[in-house]
Amino acid sequence: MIRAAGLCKRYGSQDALRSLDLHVPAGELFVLLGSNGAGKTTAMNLFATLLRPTAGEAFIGGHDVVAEPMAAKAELGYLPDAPALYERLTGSEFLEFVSDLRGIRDRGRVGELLDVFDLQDAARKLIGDYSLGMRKRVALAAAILHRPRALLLDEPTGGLDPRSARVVKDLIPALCSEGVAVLMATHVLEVAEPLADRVGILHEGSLVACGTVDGIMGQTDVASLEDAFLAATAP
Amino acid sequence: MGTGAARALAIARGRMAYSALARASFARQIARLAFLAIVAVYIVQTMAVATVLFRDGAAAQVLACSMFAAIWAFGVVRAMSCSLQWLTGDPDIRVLGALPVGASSLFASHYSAVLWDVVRVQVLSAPIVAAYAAASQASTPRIAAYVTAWTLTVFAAAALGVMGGVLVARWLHPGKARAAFRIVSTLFVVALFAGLMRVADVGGGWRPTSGDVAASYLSWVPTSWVVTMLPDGRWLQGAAVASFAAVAVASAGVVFCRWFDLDAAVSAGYTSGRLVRRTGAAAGRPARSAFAAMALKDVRCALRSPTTVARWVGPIALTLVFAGVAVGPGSSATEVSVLLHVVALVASLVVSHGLAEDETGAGWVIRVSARRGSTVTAAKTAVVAAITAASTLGAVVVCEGWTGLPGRAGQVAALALSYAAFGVAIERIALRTGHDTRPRGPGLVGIFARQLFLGVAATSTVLAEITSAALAFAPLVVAGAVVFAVERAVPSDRRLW
Repeated sequence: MIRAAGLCKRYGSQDALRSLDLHVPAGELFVLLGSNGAGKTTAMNLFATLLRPTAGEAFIGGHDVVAEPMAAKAELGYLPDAPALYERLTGSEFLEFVSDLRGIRDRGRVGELLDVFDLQDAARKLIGDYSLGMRKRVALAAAILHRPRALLLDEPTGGLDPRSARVVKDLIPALCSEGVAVLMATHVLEVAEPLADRVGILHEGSLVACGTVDGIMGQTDVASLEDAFLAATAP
Repeated sequence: MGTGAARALAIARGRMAYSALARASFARQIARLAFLAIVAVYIVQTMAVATVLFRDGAAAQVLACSMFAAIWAFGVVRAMSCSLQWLTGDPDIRVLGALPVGASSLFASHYSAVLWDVVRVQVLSAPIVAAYAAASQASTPRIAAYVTAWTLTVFAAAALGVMGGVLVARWLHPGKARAAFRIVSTLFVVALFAGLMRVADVGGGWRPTSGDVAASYLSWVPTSWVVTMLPDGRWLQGAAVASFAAVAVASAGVVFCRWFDLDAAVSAGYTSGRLVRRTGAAAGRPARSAFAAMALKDVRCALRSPTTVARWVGPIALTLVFAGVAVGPGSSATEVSVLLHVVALVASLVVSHGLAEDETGAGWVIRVSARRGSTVTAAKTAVVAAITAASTLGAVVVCEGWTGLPGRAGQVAALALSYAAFGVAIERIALRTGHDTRPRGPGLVGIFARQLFLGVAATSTVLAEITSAALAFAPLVVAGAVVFAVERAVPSDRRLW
């Protein structure tokens, strides 16, 4: 469902992402782990069609993100790390706007997601007055509004309070059970470890380890994901 | 500590400004081509203004005094607006306020931010300033002194703006101060331009009709000292400008250190959670097309923005003022055409800027949805055209009442649509995202793109005056096509939508 082959991104003389090979089948949660600046957000932006690869290919639902961006976008939901939203729309207006852009005829879906993310009270307030956590919940609602088959989540629990974070952590496995392929980028190991079907560790733009949590710990012969991460990203 | 920190903050601000300039250029080759093309536009504009406005020595001096005063006053107002924005809710202030630095360091950072903002606006008037120098045929040292003195007036404008901003923020509620100031400043600038139009006798060949009066009123404005030092070689005037700038900056520093209220500035950023009245539940409303959704979103965002609403006051007030000053009983159809062009230009520029600016941050929402950029462009053009048409239609109604000339609904519609399309295309180039898809402010290319817009609009207006209203659309259509082609050549990951 989400696939990359030799995916590269270069900014000037700096390689942000080096030959990434990845495959996330339907129903799987794949977590990209990495330090700050490892290339996680660049990878997410490449899959989200916001950036163009320097080399290699990326596919969403079998559609090349460069050759068939519209078809890829139709299959895709995306939550950025720090989502900038239209400050002068209310939460429900924003979701209606996204719903219209996505061609969704069922207005009930907006109300349903406002309930799921506990946003009914805030739905009539302008987004400019929202906290970071509320913005993230609205953006996540917008990402799954059209029931995408592939979901990209960049630091989905960053900035969320414990209750909201629990909602997100419960939601992700539920989406996977419905057949959604989820690619999640984070540097919070405590979030990744209990949720991930498979984990990839990005270091300086390269995927240095990939497999199940147990598999990666086995590869590096350590007892925890944290130790495995530190071993894989050691200078 | 204080001096070192101030220097570090000022250097950081300078680097940010440079960085904004450097990163604003999209594909480098295209940026170079655009830059060269726009430099050519600058040169043409300078030569045209020098020939048309400043060919007559005595009249030129009066005209230059009034135009420069209007430009400078606009800079002061802009600086005050920027200062108020910074002092009443800018996120920077929370970061800087938490640092162990004194008020002088905060002033250094604040003043450099305001100065950069004023420079970005004042550079648009560079062809007028350059044209006066070119027409004067003064010696190179005199021109160098003239340019230096003009630059110093920009420093002074920023300082006066900071002073005004600090004082207003100190004694008025931040939210009310911002909203009131935007409207008052817009009306102030419109009044200034009205005065300029009366002095310059717009529609009557731009020959000053009340030169003595203008000269006596404007002699105290620093820009008038800059004007007179060029042909007359009055070096004392140059020294006066330098002293004025130095005193203004020093006074701004004193006022800032004395009356800047950090607590009020930080707390101004917190809002009380405004509610928007809704007419019904989302479930009850039918789904819309992407075009209608985009247009509705743009209208909502625009109407809820005090800045945009204040900007709309400008074209409306300008229509009335311009109609009262330049168009009256017995006016010709040509003068009405010029009026329509000016109103359409102002309306389309301010509205298209506001609508494009919204997409610099949240544009990713559109870019990840399966919608083509052309839908977004069409929707934004429609919204801008509707507002521009409303403004120009107002001008037509006023003109009809004054002149008895027949209505021009067809011309209004064509004007509104062509200016709107051009304005949206220009703003798409002026504002863009960077490598990391985060917003970038208007950089060098953006500044010159807007210059191109002004140049093309001025050319259209002149053509409307000397040839026919129909021919006046040609520059807009040609330039619009060029801008659209340039935009299409930009990689998709650098486009605004």
